Amino acid sequence: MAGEQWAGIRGVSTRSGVRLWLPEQATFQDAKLALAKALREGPSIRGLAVTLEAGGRPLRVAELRELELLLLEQHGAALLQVIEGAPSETRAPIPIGVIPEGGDDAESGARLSAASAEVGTGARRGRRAHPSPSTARPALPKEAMGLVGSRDLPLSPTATVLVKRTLRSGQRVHFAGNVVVLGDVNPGAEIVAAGDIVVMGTLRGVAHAGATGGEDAIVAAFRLQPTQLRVASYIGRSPDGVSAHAAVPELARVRDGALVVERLMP
Amino acid sequence: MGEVCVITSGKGGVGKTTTTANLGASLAALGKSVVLIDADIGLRNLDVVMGLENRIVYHLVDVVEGYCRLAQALIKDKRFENLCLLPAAQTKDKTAVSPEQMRGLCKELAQDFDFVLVDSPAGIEQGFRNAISGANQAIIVATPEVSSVRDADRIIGLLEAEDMRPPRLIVNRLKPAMVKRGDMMDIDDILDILAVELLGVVPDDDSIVVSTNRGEPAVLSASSRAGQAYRDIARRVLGEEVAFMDLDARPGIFGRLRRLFAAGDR
Repeated sequence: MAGEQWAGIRGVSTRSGVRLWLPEQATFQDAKLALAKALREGPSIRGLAVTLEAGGRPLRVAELRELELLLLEQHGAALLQVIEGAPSETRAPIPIGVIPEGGDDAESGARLSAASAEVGTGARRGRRAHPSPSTARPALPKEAMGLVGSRDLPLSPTATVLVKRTLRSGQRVHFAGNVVVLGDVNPGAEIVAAGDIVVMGTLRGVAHAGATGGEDAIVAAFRLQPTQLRVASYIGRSPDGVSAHAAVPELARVRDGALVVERLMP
Repeated sequence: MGEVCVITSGKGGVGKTTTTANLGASLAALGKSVVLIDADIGLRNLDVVMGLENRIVYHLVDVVEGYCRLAQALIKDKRFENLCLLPAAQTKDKTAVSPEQMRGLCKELAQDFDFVLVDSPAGIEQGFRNAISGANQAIIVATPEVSSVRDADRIIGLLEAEDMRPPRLIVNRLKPAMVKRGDMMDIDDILDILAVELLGVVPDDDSIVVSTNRGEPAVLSASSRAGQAYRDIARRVLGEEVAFMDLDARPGIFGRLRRLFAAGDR
């Protein structure tokens, strides 16, 4: 159901929450003020997961944090995902989340974290009125559990998600775009992305870039020590036995029909 | 209100029960009132390690099912007036208790005790869910083995979703000589992956086996190295700054001989 319910800005309700378009003002602060005004005057979004369409405006980490705090502290809503790049009105929300092993069991700990690593929602288990920013994380909506690349999800090569946390064993991020992790990816954790994967930390788990067939996808990490690497249909793994890893940033890509790892040259 | 602390690990056999018994006894020796809850229903051990097995009349499941009052099920320790044990049932299984019931139980005990220590079962299923449900802090026990660290990482990931302070780590059964030879993970390797606060390091110590079999926590023995480590941990739990003990302090038989000769030369 589309609608002009959010005085002055575009917004629609979706199955998993609410989708808001960041107003296209000249500066970020103006856009934030317009968003804040619309949220004050529009219907309550308490406890909902928010998908934010940032349009052509690239958001900096600090700006993302400001929006997160605005949504969480003033309106009790969790920032689920931020989509940058040309927004399409008909596009379904791109699923993203940190999914525990056997991910269909929401109660046993399906938790979401994305651009909003530190946000919580008051709706969690319905037993706490106020979200606690330090610990709580909202449960992942069921419909966001699917794998990337299902046919009804058009891919946007410009969509990127920022995961501001370390991914621990058993946690997964699936995203129909690029994934950037600010933290480590520990053994037993898994990232599957239709686009590129960049880990600003140590990648020790499994990473699958170009999961929908994009052979030009890359996996880059400050320390590339993966259990297993996949790009499109190519699979590589660390050599058996004691492995000495280079202490420099590296990048993996498909070249001449083979998965190769090379030094990341800026 | 007292603190409710769950001792957990994911992997079995790393020393959760030993840690619970020794930490509880140390805190009691420091004058705190402490109650230990054995949440490992069906595989109870804590009563044996505490040497209280023959005093059990009622257990945890009796309390939640209303067969007895909570005070009737609490067993007073032989050594410390201010230390109690709530034993697990041996003839039931994990489904006999729900997370809500555990939460209520912990809340009730936290009214009367400074510390409620919950000994979690291994695994991540309902027994684990029950054990963590009432806790406001967690202590992770891991041994310096890849599998144990992997499981601890998984547990820390699961606890992120809970409403509690960031978990702290005890590294158990470290063998300094093996670490020195490069045959065992050292503390830095472990912290590199887990990235949590280190509460203490307990050296591998044969006296633990003896004390466990006798039902006497090792902290009661002044000569036990592991006991000393647990006493230090208890003081850190109380917020004291305690230096980490030098695990190389005790030389082996050759070191002692060498020292003897060196003394003779002088």
